[in-house]
Amino acid sequence: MGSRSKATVLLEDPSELVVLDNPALPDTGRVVLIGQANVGKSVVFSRLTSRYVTISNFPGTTVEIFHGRVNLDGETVEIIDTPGINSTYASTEDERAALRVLQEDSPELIVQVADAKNMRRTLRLTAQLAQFGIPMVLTLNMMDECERKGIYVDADILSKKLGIPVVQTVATTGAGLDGLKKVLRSRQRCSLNGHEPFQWVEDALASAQRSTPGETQKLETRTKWFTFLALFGSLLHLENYFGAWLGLPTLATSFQTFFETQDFPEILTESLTVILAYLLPVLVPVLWAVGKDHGFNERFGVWARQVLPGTLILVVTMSLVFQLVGVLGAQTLVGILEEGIFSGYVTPFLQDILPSGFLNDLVVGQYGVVSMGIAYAVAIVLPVVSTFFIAFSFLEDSGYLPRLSILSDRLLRAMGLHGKALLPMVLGLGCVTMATMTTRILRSKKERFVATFLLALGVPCSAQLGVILGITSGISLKALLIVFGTVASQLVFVGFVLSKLYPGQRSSFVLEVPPIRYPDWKNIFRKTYWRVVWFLKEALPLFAIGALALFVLDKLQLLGKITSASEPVITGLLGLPKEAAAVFLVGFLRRDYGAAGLFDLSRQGQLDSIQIVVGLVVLTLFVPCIANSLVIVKEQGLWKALGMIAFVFVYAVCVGGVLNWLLHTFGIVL
Amino acid sequence: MERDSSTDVDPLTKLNPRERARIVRIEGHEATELAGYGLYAGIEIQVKQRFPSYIVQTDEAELALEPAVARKIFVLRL
Ligand SMILES: Nc1nc2c(ncn2[C@@H]2O[C@H](COP(=O)(O)OP(=O)(O)O)[C@@H](O)[C@H]2O)c(=O)[nH]1
Repeated sequence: MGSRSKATVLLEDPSELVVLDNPALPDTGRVVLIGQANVGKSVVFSRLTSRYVTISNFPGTTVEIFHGRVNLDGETVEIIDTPGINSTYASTEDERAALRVLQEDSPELIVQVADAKNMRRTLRLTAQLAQFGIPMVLTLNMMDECERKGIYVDADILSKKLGIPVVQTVATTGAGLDGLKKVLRSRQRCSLNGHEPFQWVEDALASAQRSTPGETQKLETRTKWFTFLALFGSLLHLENYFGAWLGLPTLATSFQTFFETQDFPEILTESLTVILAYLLPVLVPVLWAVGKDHGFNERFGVWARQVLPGTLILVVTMSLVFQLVGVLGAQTLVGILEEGIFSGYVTPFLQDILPSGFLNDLVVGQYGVVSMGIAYAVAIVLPVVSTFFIAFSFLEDSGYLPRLSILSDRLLRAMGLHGKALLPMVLGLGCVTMATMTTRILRSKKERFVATFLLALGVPCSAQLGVILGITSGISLKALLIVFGTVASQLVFVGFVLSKLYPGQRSSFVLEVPPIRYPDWKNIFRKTYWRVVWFLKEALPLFAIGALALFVLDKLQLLGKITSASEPVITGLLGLPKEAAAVFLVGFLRRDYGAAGLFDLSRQGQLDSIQIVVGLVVLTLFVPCIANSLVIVKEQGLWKALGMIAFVFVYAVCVGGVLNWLLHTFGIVL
Repeated sequence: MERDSSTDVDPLTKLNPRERARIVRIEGHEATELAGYGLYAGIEIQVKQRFPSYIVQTDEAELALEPAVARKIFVLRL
């Protein structure tokens, strides 16, 4: 924060904005976009900013905070996008991350982006945000949908009542965004005409001041508001909140005592209702058009959350995703990159220019850094992952995933989770490491543990999935069903057992269901781009290191020893050729690495059908990759992580052994 | 006609799809979270679906709730 000049004087009239010291340097203002989920914040953000400067993984959370810049007549303004929030009570990880931006980045302006269809909710949040005393602008987005539904909002009256600029936009078409840019330099505070609903906050503060004067003084004014507002809904996290976040442990106890004597949610609802009663008349006339629009999207949205049509839609969606990821990604693009570019040009070229011997072996040998490491990452895994992320971002933005959560809620509840856990599970099909980080959206410890465990155990990442589909399509549908059936049944079984064994409660399932919308392609490619970049940063070094490690082990003749040492398990129990040892070895590094290795083995014709099926099952259930293991340690602690990994290892081998035995004993033809 | 209002208050789970009602009170610790989604006393709602999850509409927003939560929302039929 420090380097930025703080000389901007906040005046009522934006045209009077002056910079006091060093007029030669354009001052960079900081603007934060805040709003509920799915109101179009990301689209507004990408429309406003010409390019992305950084994407920060918020410390301690995984929530992505995007930073960008917008140029206003030669003055640069930094724009920060935040995760969607429903309230300023910091009851979820997302809310905490967004509030942290307000607290720590000291923005000069809050732009509240809102869905104009839901004015009541919008204004509740406006009233809460107003308490921070930071200048505000209200953006009523989705005006096109409002119009179609016949909802009319009078922005001028609202602006007068709130005392801040109110603009109306359709982010997807860009309508109204110039108007938004114009008011970005406004510095008007939201005044609710003398309504002071948060008197009790002052009371709480006074009470805390009496008991712990020292610690209270450490809170600067804004932090005070921030803290108190954040307290609602997080009474349970109080200690964590003050102790770990602000480093003020005794204050927690002091507030706890104060809050225990009051019925806060009640007070809160009441005070907000007062404000709403004051604001709502300005929304009149809210006209309900006679024939409400029931477009195809709306009907689709209803079908997708009902049992029968929903299941049908799921099957169709899955086969479309399969066409994109399994066929276009795993077959066409891998073919072009692997056979065409790497085996065709890159490797032969390097083999020619490098002197034969050590260097040649190191770079392009059997375990070469390029011929194995980079080629696996770029030619086999990258196409699969990229196509998966496109599909995932599309589903995410279309509003389909919450409907899938509704359909799967009951099954997930049997496993100690609920519908919301579907999101990390589906994301896990892209990259389990990324998904493990998003388990933070789950509220209770138990849910996070179970979800992390299941992700580590059996959710195949997209590269594995692509490989599974790619290989089994060469055998039979039966083989594919056996692989998936075995893995899925293990997930359900282990989840069920865990939910019984792990103490604690799961949180309740409450989920907003956004309307089905046709996604914005720009937004999809932006998300896909960042996810792929993240993936490459994460994966490329490990792929190279893996090849290097195998190369060294091979040169030291240790690889052979490891292979023969693991022979009883690999050849004996699992019935695989001993070359598979190297596959599992790199599988420790990354599961998709192992999968790529298995793909390679089977393409060389070294595996029969049963071996392929057993190999795929074991590799899917096999230990989480290093990156994922590190994340598990971070999220769950060392001991739980080690326990998890040890269990998964033994379990994977046992399931593989049993499957191998079953397939042979019953002479199943694949 | 005058009716004793207390007898008409039902948990949301008693409503059939398409029925409209007004929220009278919400019990349990989910009340704050639900308020953030726009569900609190005084608000008018409509039940859209009961299975696999309850779907409740307020204004233009749809909310999915598991039965255990729906049971704690008490409403007055309209
Ligand atoms: N019809 C319409 N759709 C919009 C508008 N703004 C955003 N969307 C869509 O709403 C969905 C959610 O937008 P997004 O920016 O991801 O929401 P966020 O969660 O607030 O960041 C996307 O599918 C957008 O394409 C708008 O003004 N009109």
